[in-house]
Amino acid sequence: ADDTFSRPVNGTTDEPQSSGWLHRFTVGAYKPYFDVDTSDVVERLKESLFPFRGTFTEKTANNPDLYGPFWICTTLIFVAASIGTFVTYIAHKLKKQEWNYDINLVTWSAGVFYGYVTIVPLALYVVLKYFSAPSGLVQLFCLYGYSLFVFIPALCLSVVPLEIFRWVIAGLAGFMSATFVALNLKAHINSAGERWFLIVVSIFLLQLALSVVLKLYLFTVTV
Amino acid sequence: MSHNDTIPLYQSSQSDIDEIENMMNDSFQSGPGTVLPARPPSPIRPSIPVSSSPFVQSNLPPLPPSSSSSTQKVMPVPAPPPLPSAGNEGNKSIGGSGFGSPPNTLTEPVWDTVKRDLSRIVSNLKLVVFPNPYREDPGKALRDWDLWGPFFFIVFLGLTLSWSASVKKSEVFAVAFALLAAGAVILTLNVLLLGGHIIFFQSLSLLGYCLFPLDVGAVICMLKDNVILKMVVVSVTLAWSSWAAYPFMSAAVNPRRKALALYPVFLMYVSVGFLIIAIN
Repeated sequence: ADDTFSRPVNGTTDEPQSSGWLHRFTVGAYKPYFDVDTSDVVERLKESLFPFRGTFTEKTANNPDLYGPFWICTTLIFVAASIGTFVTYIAHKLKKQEWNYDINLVTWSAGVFYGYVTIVPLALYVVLKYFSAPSGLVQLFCLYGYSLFVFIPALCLSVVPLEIFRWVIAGLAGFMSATFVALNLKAHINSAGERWFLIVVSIFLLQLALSVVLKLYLFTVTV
Repeated sequence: MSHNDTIPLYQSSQSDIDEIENMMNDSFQSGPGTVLPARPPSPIRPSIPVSSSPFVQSNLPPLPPSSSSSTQKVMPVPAPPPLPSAGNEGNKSIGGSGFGSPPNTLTEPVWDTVKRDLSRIVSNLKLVVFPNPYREDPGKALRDWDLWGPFFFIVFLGLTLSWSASVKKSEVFAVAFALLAAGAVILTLNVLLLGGHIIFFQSLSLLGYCLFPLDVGAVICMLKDNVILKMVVVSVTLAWSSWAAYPFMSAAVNPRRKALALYPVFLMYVSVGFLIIAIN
């Protein structure tokens, strides 16, 4: 069997990076970003539910993790696909219509969530660098990943078949997660000069747009 | 057997065959603690890699002290002695280790190879999935892992789901297969990144074997299309799969990160279970 992956990477007995760019492809290169315990992750999740505190970046400045973002996205894909399926199932059954499982919900939501959490922080990183207010890339991934956590309860609550209720939930979740991202970046953004307001607004709108897109695609049932 | 006595190699092989048979007869008469174990491990298996993962005892009877046995590998001895009964030209062609040729898997009958792999799959399945009072320690990994079993189970699950689907059958198969295969790889990487100690392919193998209950559930759901029955069956098989995977995964990581390693396993099985319920 292959021994490559099970060799423990010890910080103190660090082997010199054998070849610069190949090192990126080893498991050891990413271990520092997964150096969290269960209690850390739970605490960060709880932080994301209180957007107005704005202390998330301070807490994760030394130890940003990629575990949270990745698994929150994956959970979201599953939750979105299953709730979306369930909603259309109920709607069809209530009207006594034929219903078929749409596998594309899974692939579509995978594309949306993974794409959003990968591309938007990357773009933001570039923008912030351009405005001389650099933020670490991993911190941005971490921030955006945890900001999506609030969508999980929101999606679960959207099962209720009241249209207005669904819109309220979508709006609330979008607002909370957008505020979370914006407030936590505020310190960085303030030093970006006059354009900071523009950046904050665009972040905010993007997050709200995500929420609206989710609501429209998953919960629009045409029977 | 040919009467080609001029080849010294064959002669030595033949004498070694006789030697083995004599030793077997002796061991039957003299009781336990003798040279040949009842069912030695497969010689084809590469040597078990040494790593920090816990070393597991298989459920085979303990090997006798190796000093008394030969230095070379011992051949597997199913109930009838294999060499005379295999009776093919290939068995005498190995010159490498003089003490009875290890079965050359290229030239043995296909049925022997298939039977051996099948029996390994069954024994691994019994070790991993079924409550087994003889299991040494549920947290220890499979000693004799293979990838045929997991492959078979994943493909079977994909086919069953695809068969039950009424539309977009090939997409269903593709999603199911990708989800399971990529999921197993990602789960293993997750444990490694969290600082756990496992062997990559051994973990893939274990996660694949733990799919067996979900296979059973999928077949039942395919046969009977009642929603309530499906939910019950899927919940039961899901719990069973998680129970099978739990000891191995939790033993591999630091106890403070146990939930971080276990949650993704649970997530994957729940999503597969959901797929089974939803496909109609």
